Amino acid sequence: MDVIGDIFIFLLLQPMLNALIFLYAVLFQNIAYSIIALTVVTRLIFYPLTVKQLKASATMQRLGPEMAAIKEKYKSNPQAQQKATMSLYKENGVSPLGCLGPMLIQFPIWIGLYYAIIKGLGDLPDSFMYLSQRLYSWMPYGSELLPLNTQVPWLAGSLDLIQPDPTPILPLLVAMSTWAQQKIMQAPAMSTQQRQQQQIMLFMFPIMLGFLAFTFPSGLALYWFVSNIITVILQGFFSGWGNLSIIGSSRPIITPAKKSSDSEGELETQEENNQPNKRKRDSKRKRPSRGRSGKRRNKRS
Amino acid sequence: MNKRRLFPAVLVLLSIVIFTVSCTGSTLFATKSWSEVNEIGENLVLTTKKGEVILVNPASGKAVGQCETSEGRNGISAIYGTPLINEGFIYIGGFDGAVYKINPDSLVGSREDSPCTVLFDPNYQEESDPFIGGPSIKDDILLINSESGLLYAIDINSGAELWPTPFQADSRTWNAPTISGNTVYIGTLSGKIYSLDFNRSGFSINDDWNFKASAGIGSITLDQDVMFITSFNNKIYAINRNNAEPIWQEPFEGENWFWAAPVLFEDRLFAPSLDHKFYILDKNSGRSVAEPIETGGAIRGSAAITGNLIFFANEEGETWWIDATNLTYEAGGKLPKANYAGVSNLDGTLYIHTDEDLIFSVRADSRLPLQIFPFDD
Repeated sequence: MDVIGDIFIFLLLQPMLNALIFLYAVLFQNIAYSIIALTVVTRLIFYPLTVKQLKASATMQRLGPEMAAIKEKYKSNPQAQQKATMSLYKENGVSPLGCLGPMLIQFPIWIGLYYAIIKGLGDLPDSFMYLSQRLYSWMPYGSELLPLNTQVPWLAGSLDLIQPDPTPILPLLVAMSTWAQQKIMQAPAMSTQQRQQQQIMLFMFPIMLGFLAFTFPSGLALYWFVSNIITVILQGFFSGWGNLSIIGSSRPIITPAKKSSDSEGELETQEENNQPNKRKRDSKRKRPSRGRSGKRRNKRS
Repeated sequence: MNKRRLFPAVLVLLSIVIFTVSCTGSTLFATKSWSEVNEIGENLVLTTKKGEVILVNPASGKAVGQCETSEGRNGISAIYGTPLINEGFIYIGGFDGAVYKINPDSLVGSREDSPCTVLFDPNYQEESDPFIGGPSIKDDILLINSESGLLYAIDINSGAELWPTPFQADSRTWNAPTISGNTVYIGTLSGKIYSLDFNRSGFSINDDWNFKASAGIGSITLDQDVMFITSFNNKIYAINRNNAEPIWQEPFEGENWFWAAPVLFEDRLFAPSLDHKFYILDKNSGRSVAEPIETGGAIRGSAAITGNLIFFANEEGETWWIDATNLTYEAGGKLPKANYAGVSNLDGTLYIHTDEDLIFSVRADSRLPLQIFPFDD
């Protein structure tokens, strides 16, 4: 157990702690700026992975009709269905686990930042003792900055970023931005059951993170909020903003076209509740080429 | 990715989060010892990071009584400072922002949750201003620094605040005030040290006396006219206590912070550091007179001296003995718990307070720490 802890501290916590203090020193000794900058830097470091995830997410959205067609075609043969689905993935250069990478990375970063905030920004002697052993000796800034000022202006008063926000504002911002992130990244459902699951996911994550933001240091909530906003903006650029539309927001259920003539099928989407949107999608489409076409179609939807 | 596959994946990820937090949490959140043990009558006094004051019989290894302080900022109950004993009473500053004066006789047989007796509670601010450092007493005046940098003067008999307004330092203060005659020295986390002349009715700041390190003050030690200062900027300073003029050509510099107060023996200064080393310096020049002892762990607490032997422990619980006359050293026994507190020398017996609030006594002849509290039957 200690080995896991040591690896975590060496690879993640210590770099984040030092980065946080360095950014604090150069960004007007304002810890909120430091956390926002750290969020942006973290997202930049993982930008290639994020792009991969966003592309995979956009492609998944685009492949929805094809997958529905495969499902329909091989209804009675799950093995063939799986084979055809994998072939479709391969053909389009996506991995079913491709979206997981950046998500996997997010969790240790959250934990690292959580500890960096409570240990590094703490103003008790114990925190100082901990910091003394974790600050890089070659860092131009260090002990002379301590204790860091963790208070930032907030509403009418101030907010201590190592404490949870006593108001519901920051948790609500986290919940809303998480909802927006989930919404914009959501792929079209292929069945009513899947659609129900999507709806659960769409609200479960925001509620969960919002709840965590109530109990965790508000510095971490600030990270979540900024990180979510970055994801929403990036995803918006990659696959369009259509998913965020609240009016007529019921997502279409993708079904194969009744008259599909081949397995790669020309497809149609059916709205359960949204006929005006249905009309837009009724036009027959050829299977789009990779990249931009997916973006265009999502913009239309 | 298919959301049906995503759901279990997210559950797995959450499990990883919980697992990682639980794995690392033990090393990150272990309760650390901080205060030194003191002695009153035949009993030892132990203060804990849970805000308790415990009276311990060293012969039986049992608690004979205890009381607790109340919760302070963010729900924390803690006592960081070493309990001060004066004329049969125990004085402590609590994290709850109150000063306590405890009659040890009233503690005997008391229940675990008995409240300690408050001597002074400023209640100036809505949120309590914790006392991290312990108090110091001169005659019947108790001086204590609050975390926000206020220095209070309190009548030890009535608990009345003596000065019209407390002295306000430029930064937080975590140390007990250092008193010499009618002068008190206050070290702050900004690195500044103040010199104040004081009496019952007020204080005056010695404006001509100026010292500032580039980081927080770890400790102040007086030796006749010399003041030794340890700092979080990795340096030890020696200055003239009367005018703050430096005595050494250059401050001594280690590789990490100096937090603990050094120990003096003849012309030597024995200084533990958070860089895992224990330095031996010439107290007149500040130069190293021997290779530093590599201990393998940060040393936050002060060493203690018994006869010509110096004893200390690092955070790993490893103990060391140094012969101060010939500067030879050897490892002592290893404590089973980590240690962040200093060693106390009480009537020739050394005591050490480790994590999980265990007390060990250490004998120079056997050189092995022996757990005396809680004594395991």
